[in-house]
Amino acid sequence: MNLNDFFQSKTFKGILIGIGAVIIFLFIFRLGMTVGFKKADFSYKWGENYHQNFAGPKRGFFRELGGMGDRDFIGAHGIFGKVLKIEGSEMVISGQDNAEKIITVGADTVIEKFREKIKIDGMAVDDMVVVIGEPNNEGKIEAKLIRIMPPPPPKPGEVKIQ
Amino acid sequence: MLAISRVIVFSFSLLGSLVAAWPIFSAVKIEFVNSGFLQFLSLAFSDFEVIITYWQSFISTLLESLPAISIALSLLIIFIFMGSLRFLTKDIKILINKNILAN
Repeated sequence: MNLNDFFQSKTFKGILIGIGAVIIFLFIFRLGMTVGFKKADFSYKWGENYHQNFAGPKRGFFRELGGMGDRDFIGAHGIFGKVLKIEGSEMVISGQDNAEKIITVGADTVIEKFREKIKIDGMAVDDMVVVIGEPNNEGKIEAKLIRIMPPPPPKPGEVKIQ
Repeated sequence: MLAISRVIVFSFSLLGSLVAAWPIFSAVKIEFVNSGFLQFLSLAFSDFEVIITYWQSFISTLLESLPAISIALSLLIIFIFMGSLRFLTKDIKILINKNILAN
């Protein structure tokens, strides 16, 4: 089979259809997330401003639907970033979406550093961590797993100040 | 005549997809790093047992951090490239056969 036959083959056509289907799926997935987020955001603001602003959003609901980028939502189930503060069973982490989140550490939270399990007092400010958990009603994440990552290598020309 | 115009159109789309590929793939790479998706995914290898226990939180985290638009755009570029290649080779073959018959 030469290259030209391959481009006209059913296999190649199948690959094209598969890629097309994944593209459509990803766009629909993203659209679903956007619409869901906007609805939740709208409902939240509507409830918050019910007494002050009964007329609805100032710019109109459909204008609020703008922005289909990848980084307009704050993740609710996980965070990856640097520990800013540790206080009792809570810590503040500056995350990948430039939002600071409060993480609560419970009795069932697994904290891993390399191959060993540690306690929260074994953690320090400036640790790079990946956290998986569940959001609670207070806007915090109840951590299920905290993995302490090795610090990222300095960028070329970057001087680390101790 | 139709085959010639199709060859021109698909040549442009092939070239366009090749030109657009580099910036889009770079953007996807940056998005994967900035979203934390790779870091979250790496937990499946380093902490498999814990991830199995809390698989629902893990899946939610992956879906939340998935750079869907960037992946879709990069797949779109691959789709345009492969589709153009398919139609281009078909039309070029038609043109070659016509020339052979004419001669």
